[in-house]
Amino acid sequence: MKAVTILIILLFGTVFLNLLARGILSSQDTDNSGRAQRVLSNWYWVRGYGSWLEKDEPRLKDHYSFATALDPFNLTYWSLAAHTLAFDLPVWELNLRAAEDGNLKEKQIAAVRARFAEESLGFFERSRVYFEGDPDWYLTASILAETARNDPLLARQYLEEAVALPEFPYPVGRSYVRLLIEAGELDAAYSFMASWLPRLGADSFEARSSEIRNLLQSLESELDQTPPN
Amino acid sequence: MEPEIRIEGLSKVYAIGWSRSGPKAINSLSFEVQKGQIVGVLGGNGSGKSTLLKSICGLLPISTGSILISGSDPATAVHQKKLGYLPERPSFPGYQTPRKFLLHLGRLSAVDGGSLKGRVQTCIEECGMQKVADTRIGQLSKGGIQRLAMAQALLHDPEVLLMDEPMDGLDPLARDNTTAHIRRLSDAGKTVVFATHLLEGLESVCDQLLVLHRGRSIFFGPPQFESGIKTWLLDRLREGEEEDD
Amino acid sequence: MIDSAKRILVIALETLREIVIYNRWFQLCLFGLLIFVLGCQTLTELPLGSSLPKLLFDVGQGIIVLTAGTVLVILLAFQLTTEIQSGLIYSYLVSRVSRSEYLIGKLIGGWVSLVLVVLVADGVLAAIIEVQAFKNLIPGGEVLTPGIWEWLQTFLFQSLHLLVLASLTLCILTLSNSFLFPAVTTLAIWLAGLFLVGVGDFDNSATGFAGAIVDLLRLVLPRFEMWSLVDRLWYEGALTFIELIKSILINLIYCIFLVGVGLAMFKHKEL
Repeated sequence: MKAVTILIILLFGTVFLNLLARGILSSQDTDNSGRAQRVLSNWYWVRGYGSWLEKDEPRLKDHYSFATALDPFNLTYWSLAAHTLAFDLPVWELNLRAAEDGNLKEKQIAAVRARFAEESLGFFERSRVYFEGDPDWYLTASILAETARNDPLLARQYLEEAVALPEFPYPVGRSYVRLLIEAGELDAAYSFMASWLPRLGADSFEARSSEIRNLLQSLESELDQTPPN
Repeated sequence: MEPEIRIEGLSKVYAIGWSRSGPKAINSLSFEVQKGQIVGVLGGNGSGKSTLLKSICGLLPISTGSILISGSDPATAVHQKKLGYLPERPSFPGYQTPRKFLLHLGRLSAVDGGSLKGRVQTCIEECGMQKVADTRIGQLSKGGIQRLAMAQALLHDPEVLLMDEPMDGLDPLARDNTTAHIRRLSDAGKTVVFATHLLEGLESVCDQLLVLHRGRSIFFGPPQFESGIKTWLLDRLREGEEEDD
Repeated sequence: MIDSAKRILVIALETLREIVIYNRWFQLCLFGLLIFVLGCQTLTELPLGSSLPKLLFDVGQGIIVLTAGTVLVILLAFQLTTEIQSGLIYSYLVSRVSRSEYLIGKLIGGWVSLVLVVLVADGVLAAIIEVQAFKNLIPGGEVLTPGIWEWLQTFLFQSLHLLVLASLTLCILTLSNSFLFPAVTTLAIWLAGLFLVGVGDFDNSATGFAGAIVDLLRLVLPRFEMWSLVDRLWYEGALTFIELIKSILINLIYCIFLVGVGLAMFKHKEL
């Protein structure tokens, strides 16, 4: 084969391969994270399962980081990873410590749980930029804040952002109402439900509208408000 | 005097797939070749000529019978560098030059390192390859490939030379040169067995002729034919066909 | 024995020379592999901070082993089949080279050519990882990357992996006269061993029929260690001497077994 032919093949081959590499391993700037990156993401998720079975914390964290970084538009991975960090990892560490040091004090247990809760929430917060305007993201964050971090105020703040969106699913609104009532903010709960109920009319589940109407009625007696039609 | 090549009751059955029941390529063949003789092997397509030569070289395992070369089996003969083989369709790496390929083979054949280059040059000259010795094999003509095949067969100075269609694809002058070369090899004491389709000049070259038909020997002896070799051969082959029927 | 070793070496060197210098497809594949390894640069945009080098290490290893392995299988299968079918092998066999010496020489030559490719690719990957680690350095902190001993072990295991693969190719090649069958079969077995069985060296958590299939595959398929070794080298550092010897021995035993079976079958093969 002549040298010129080889050079031409090399030139076109380089250009082609560069385009291919860019196409299948595309950057994070676009909505399309590239097919190869998505495949890699799934691959790391599967390997993460293996790490989870072996209770290998460093590998698990890396695998989940890679899976979510390679396909950042997959909320399921972010959510499951954050829940694993928040609930499974503290149990592993506590079991390890208990095996080494014997019975642990409540303070120690609480400290471990709190650390992992922070880590989990910090991890999940990294995905915020990819889910702007997605109410499911705020709901998941709220659940993590409430159950892992024991911070209902933070949970409520997440849901406030969610209910400010043009549309949000029923569980988001319902959780928001619950948190407001539990915090004693009955006025705020009533106002929110009153503004939400007309929009619920379009909801296909009559049970949901009924539930909100019943809640409004039960709050009325406490607040002396005139119920809306 | 012990024959240079002795074949007794040789049979070869090719396997088909995993079964052993294939066609009988050679069927109970027996003959002897004395040292320094030239034996021509004639026969139609599929008569077993190539199979016979490959079996003698040890390239094909035989089914029954025995092959002895100077009293040794083919594997030992190859190890002792007694055999040289020119295949029917010679093939060589196209990127190499004849000289480099012969040097490579010479190292494998354990041709004495000090004299390897000299030996390669001798083979190149003997086979008339001086002009193309340093040309890439991929650029050689059919004749050039045949000459290279001859050179690689002679490289380690074997005592027995087995050639499968050595004149295939050569022009008349090249064929004449090859025939003369074979005579010179025989004069130098080498035993030559070659398979061929070409009948011209066989009577003057060969000391013995072996005619095969469907793996069986239908003639082995000196080539002396009153009616000419072509007529004689066609008659023998027709007889063979009738016997089969 | 010494003569035999010399003949094997001569054939191996000639094969290596032929592949590296004259085989244009091999050179193109080498070039393509380097481009793909360099393509890992696109992953550096991921927001992984100090974990990024690990991802590059993983992906880079995957690209190198999968590409080099595929090229090795196709190259070896094609070359051997062509030489046997064209009759070039006769020139060797009548030159005192036994069938075993011929095959082993070809195997070693082909394997070494890909080992050189892997060496170059590993070098490029190491450079990329070190650059990324340097860029992600937190002041006063540290980004962990493999040291020289880990890289050497990585290279060693990649080479052994390729040797087992080459041995498997050779073994299956002796069953067929065509190039396609051994190439496709070897690749299928390799990829099954790599992905199905090697996803994790953990107790199979699949139950029922799927679990039984995976268990059977684990029993039957050669053990291609890659993922667990890659993680082991990164998270726990270089293998100890005993672990290293054990791993090398297992791989060599596989090779000897596969090559032995292949040679035994090739001895009786009609050429």
